[in-house]
Amino acid sequence: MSEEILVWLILLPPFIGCLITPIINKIKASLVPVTSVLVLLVSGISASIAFIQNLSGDWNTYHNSTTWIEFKSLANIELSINADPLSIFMAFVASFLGLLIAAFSLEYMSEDKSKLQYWFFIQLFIGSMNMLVLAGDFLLLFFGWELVGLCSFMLIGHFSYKPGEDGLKARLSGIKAFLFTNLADSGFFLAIVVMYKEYGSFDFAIIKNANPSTANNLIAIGLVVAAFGKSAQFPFIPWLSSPDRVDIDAMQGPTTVSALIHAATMVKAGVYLVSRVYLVVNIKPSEGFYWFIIVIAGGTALITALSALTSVGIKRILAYSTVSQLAYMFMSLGIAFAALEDEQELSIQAFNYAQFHLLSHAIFKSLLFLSAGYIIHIYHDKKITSLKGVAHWDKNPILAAGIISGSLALSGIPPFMGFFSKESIISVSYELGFEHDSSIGKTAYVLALLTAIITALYCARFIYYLIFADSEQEETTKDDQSIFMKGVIAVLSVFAVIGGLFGFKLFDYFEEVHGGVETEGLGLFVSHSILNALIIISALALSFYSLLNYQTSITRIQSFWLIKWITTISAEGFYLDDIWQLGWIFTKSWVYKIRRLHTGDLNWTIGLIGIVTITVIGTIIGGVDL
Amino acid sequence: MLPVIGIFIAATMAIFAKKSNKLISTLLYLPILVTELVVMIIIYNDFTDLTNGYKITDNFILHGFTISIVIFIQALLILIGIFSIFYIREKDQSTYFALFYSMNLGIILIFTVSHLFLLFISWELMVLTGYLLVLFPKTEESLEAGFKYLVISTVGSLNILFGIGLLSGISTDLSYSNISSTAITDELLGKLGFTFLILGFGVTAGMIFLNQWLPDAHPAAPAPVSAVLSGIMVNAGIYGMYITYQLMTNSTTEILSAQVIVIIATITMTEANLLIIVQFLRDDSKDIKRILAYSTIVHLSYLMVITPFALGDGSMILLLHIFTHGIAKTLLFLITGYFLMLTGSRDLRDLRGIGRKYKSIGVIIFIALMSLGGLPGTGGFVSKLLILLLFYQKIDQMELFSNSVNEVFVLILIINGFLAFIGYLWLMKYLIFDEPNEETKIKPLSKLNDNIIKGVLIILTLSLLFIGLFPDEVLSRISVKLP
Repeated sequence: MSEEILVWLILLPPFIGCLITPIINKIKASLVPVTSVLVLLVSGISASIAFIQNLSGDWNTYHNSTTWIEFKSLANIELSINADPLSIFMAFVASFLGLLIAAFSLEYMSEDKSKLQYWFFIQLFIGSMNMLVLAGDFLLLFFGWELVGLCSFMLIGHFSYKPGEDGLKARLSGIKAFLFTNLADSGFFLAIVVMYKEYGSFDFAIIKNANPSTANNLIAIGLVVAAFGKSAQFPFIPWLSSPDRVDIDAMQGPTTVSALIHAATMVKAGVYLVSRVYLVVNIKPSEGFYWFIIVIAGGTALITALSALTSVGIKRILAYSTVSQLAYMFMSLGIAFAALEDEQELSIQAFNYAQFHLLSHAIFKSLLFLSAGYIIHIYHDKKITSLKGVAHWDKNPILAAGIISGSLALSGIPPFMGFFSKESIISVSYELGFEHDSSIGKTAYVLALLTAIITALYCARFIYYLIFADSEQEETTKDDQSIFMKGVIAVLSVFAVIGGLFGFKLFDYFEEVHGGVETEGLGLFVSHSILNALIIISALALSFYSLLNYQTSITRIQSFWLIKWITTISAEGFYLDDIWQLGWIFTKSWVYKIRRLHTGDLNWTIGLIGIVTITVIGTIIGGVDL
Repeated sequence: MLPVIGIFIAATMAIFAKKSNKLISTLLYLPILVTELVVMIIIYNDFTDLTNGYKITDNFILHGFTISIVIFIQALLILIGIFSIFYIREKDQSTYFALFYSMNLGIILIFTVSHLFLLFISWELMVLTGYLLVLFPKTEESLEAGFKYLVISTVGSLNILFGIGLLSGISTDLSYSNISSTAITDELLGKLGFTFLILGFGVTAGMIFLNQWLPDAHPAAPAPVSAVLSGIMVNAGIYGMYITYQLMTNSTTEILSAQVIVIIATITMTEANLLIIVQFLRDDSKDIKRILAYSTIVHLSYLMVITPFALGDGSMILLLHIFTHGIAKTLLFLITGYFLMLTGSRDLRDLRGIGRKYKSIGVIIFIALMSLGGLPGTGGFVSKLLILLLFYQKIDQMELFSNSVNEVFVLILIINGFLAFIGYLWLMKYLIFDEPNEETKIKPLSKLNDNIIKGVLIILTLSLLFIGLFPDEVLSRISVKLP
């Protein structure tokens, strides 16, 4: 099929779908979920065909632009679509996984009281993400970016209609997500304003081919800050996951929404944006920029892995884990930037590994979230400690397979998908750090390996509680979920097991976006991954063994003061929520004082007017040079 | 002439007819507004001399910029007029419309005259009728707010008058063309004259501390009047400043005053955004109209910050933001009026969750607030984006400050966008997402009234979305009429 048709078939159906959803709802409300899934099916199939065409080398980058605003002398703003391999890859992740999650929702959300709103925003969410990744300029990308933020706000707060505390938490969580991401988006806005002044355009191709501007670093930093906000990196972690005590975060949304946010859409947008910056913005090398990315990402990876290890909410563990895994992708991109000038091949490898991990994470994380949703749907409980043994093999083999394959992929155990992608990132940081003697690489390696070990520990804990621990749930709970839910979990489990074997194909796939430079990823992976893999496997095995046989020893270790202290602060999400809260309280008390300026007293007002008048006249007449 | 006919009819009705009804009001008042709009559109289409404009007399010259703004005002006034017919008590409608037309006349004259003294007279007509309209509910609150408005506006008018007086010392003729072409021999006099004009117009344009009338007058006035004040009248202040910059020929004064205006506008914007947050923190009252009034100051500051640079094509950006803000704010004030009709309250605590009960209104509030917040797909985003692009380009070209300071100003404007967003989300939480306040008694409107009001609101909402998605459709129509 032609590139043009496929691109429009990916892009338009979700938007058309959300526009017709209210009409269908008027005609027959029960048809809304089915028509929505059908619409997403068109988009998902088209994205899959485009992705396969790309893999087989049968794809020419599609570019189309249209004038959006034309001013005589001031501005000529174009909006463009650019379907290169990276865009198609991301559109495939968003549309295909979005489709699977929507299919899962058919049953999962069947009892929901606000179906119209749910399906409207699910379609808009996927459509906006497609717009974001298929944009050929930073302005259209920003459109998609903001719409994705809006949809996440509405979907996280979906249960606002519930009475009492549940509804309140949903409302506050939606608002929190929107505020945090919007604060970070200020960086994006600044970047596009500066970009336009420097290049007179937002178009990727124009910016890439223009002479690099000195403002490029400012542009890049603005965009990276926005990406960190969207992907919940430090200090924006709390919107996606906050401690169990606070319980106001993106986990308040339906689990299908969590899966969509974590696996297919929102948080991946940040990684995509930084990848685009890598490909488009000619950044003048600056050590501070790489350090900024790697230190923030590495630190985030480590602290959120620790928080995942100490949290008890089933979705919260997965949420912290998402942040941690996203940080791997950012670290890899940081390495790509760091190696860009002197080690081009290594740089390209690091870029490709980030994309590989993005794909693999999208699969195993949607699998884990949907499995968690399945459990919550049946048991109406979210605490892992009270869900012991609920996914035992004997009770539900498909669910057990989903949790085991998802968790092992997340830990990076061979031959699961995460093994290949995560080990690749650890390997590339090793290569830069020790083979090329770079302190940035060494730092990234240490942080990545430590995080991988902790990831193995919390995955072991996750599997242990849900599958191997003695069940405390009453056996009367009925597991009569539909074929849709089980089918989606089964499909994703298969991908999580075998997907990694095809991952290195991505190196050929991304050749075009790197200007035809040929690189291969398998060699580097093979040369460095064995030791790392052994360390991770040992951590997982040790953790399992201890959980199964030495519970008293674990309790004793946990009572050691240092471990206890780390456990406490990790479980509290390193008090990031409280720090933001303190900042807000301080701001409120300070802001409230401003009210004194507007007392309403006329004498005071006239006095203030006098002050302004004298100041303005004095400045202009006096000719004070500002 | 048409507004004068309107004033005459309304005044006659007020004297002779004890009572009016909605049908009579509709038949009497709306045709005049519609005719005004049609006439303006005809003039706009016929007008070809882009540089010299459409000359009615020597001192009444219409340009592409002014006709566009008058057409926009007329269109908004028609919608506000329809709403007023249902909002204002029937027995007060004639008096109300007499004042409404007087204000309409004042505003149109402000945009069509090309002589500073005539501008001042038109200005006074607008300000005084505005005062009477704020007083219209005849409550203690409106009397106090009206008095404050009158006193502060008088200070503004005196500044304008003083400025005109000083400029008359330089230029014998106060027509715009003459002032802008006269070489300023006495620099001090020129600087003083322009500065007083800027300060005078700054009162209506919501400049910091000079804006203290605004948050009191908006809540006290009837909802459609608040819509006129916020969506239309305050723009006259910005237009006054715009004209002042058009008349300035001395570049030193221009750069100096541009620096001052940029600083004042950013401070004003920040102050108003923080005061929006303060309104939510108050325990005594959470007045939705006061919050919207502060939001108006924020958007006026966006306009103010580009006024010194809005010459030539830049005026289109000014115009676009006037449109998008005017529509969104009119929409929100009319919705406030709708809620007042339903519940008799404008306190957010009483209006909690009302958008859930009235879903279509909830969606409209959502779109209007998102437009004010600058979300892509809405008109507010387009105008805000263009303002920032123009602002950064111009302050860099003019070397208004050093490079890094210029960037800091851009960043301040962007951060202010985020601050405003906090307020809009908070407002949304109260009106749309919170659980409805069951203690609030709702008195439903008749189906006809309800549908007509919703029709008005839908037209405004669709315009916001249209501008947001297809800005060029609007801008290209205006730009062909600009020199």
